[in-house]
Amino acid sequence: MMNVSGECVGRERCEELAKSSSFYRKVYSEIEEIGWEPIRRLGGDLTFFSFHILDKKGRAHNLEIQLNRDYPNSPPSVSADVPYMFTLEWSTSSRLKDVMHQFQKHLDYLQEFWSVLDNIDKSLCVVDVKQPARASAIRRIDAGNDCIIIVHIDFKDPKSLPESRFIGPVPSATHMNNLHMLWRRNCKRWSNERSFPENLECILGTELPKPLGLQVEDDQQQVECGICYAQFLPTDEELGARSGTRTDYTCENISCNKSFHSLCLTDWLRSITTTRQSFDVLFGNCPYCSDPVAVKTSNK
Amino acid sequence: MMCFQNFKVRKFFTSRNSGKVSPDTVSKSAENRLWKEFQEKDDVLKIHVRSWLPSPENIFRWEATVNGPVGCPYEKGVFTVSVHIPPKYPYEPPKITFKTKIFHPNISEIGEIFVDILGSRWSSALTINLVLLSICSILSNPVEPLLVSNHAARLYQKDRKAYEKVAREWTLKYAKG
Repeated sequence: MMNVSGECVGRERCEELAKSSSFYRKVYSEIEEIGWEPIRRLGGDLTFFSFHILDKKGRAHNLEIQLNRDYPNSPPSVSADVPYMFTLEWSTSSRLKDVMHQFQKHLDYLQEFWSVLDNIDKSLCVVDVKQPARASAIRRIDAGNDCIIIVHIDFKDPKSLPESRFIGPVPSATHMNNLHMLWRRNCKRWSNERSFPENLECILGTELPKPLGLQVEDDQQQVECGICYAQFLPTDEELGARSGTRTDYTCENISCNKSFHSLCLTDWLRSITTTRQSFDVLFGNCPYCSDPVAVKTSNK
Repeated sequence: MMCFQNFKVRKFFTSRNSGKVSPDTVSKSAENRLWKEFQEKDDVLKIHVRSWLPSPENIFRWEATVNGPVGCPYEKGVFTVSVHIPPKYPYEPPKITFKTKIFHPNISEIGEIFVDILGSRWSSALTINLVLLSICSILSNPVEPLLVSNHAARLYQKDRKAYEKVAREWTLKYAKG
């Protein structure tokens, strides 16, 4: 009895270790398949990952993946800051890159939703939240006279007439009631062809407050080179006309979209053996996503 | 005449240098990037890796500790590694070696690390911190190809239990926190 029991436990332990070992090998190879650069956080036991992913408009997203020890027999748990999570299509032959691919498609689907919200954030005076969560479909918009319109954007049809509520202090009840009445009377004028702020101002028949002193800089100005991590090349006589310039090459892979100084990119391409040259053009692969890149080696 | 000569000399100098950036400019660029990498804040990175500069003014020389992952023979071990970064970084990979003795199929007895991201598969997209995290992950997951000249690699292939026993013993002996 004792002997049989001990033997049983021993065998189980061996099986667990063997499974553990193959688990690690599999997960490691799947990370290699995706590449190490998108990883922002990594659990030491290779069961937790946080990936940094850019969508088509260059918005940053975090995709978190949690694996069970019986992965891939059971699907990974996936979470991200999105208004709703996609249904993961999974089979025992699926891999981590399939999760990445499905998440990317999910982000593509939500582009219009986020574009509408970005437009609101940029054009109207949104109160309370400095930087709204990506998952949030609600905006509290200053309508003047201490009145606020709370709108809920439908992520399935972001350009449609939103659900709305009006709040304000009692002394402004008249103004708030006016807004509410105008909304009920004019909401049929909402049009998919107009932008959200235009629609709102059309229905309420008034210009709404603009963001307070919020100067939104051009996104392009914030872009850093993926190789030297600087926006501008050094100011250096040797660089000639390129001294102090910003990034001038962007990877054509929409998922990657990394920007580089062409000088940094040519220096990188020259440093590896797989680069090919034809006249003054270097052909190689993006250091981040390995898609083809072609950059001109201008000597001046 | 004198002016003409100066102009000609200057032009020659400019054209000769315009095809290539001097090592000094490249290393200045590396320095700028490395300070940003060194200041990177990340919760999970902090759990597994701790890095510092032996000489605060020299950003091309780091040292770091890598914690042995839970559930492997190196668990509870704290391993010191030495990081030497070339002036041409990120066009060339860093050189990282273990200062703490470790019995591992991808790490030689003198601490050399044999993984492709420090050699043929280096990319300028990688960072020192990412490489250190990768080293942390290979502790619990040795990668092919193994060093045939390495005793740890041979034992790893021949007798997994014995390998784990020795690895655990070395961890207890050399890698106490």
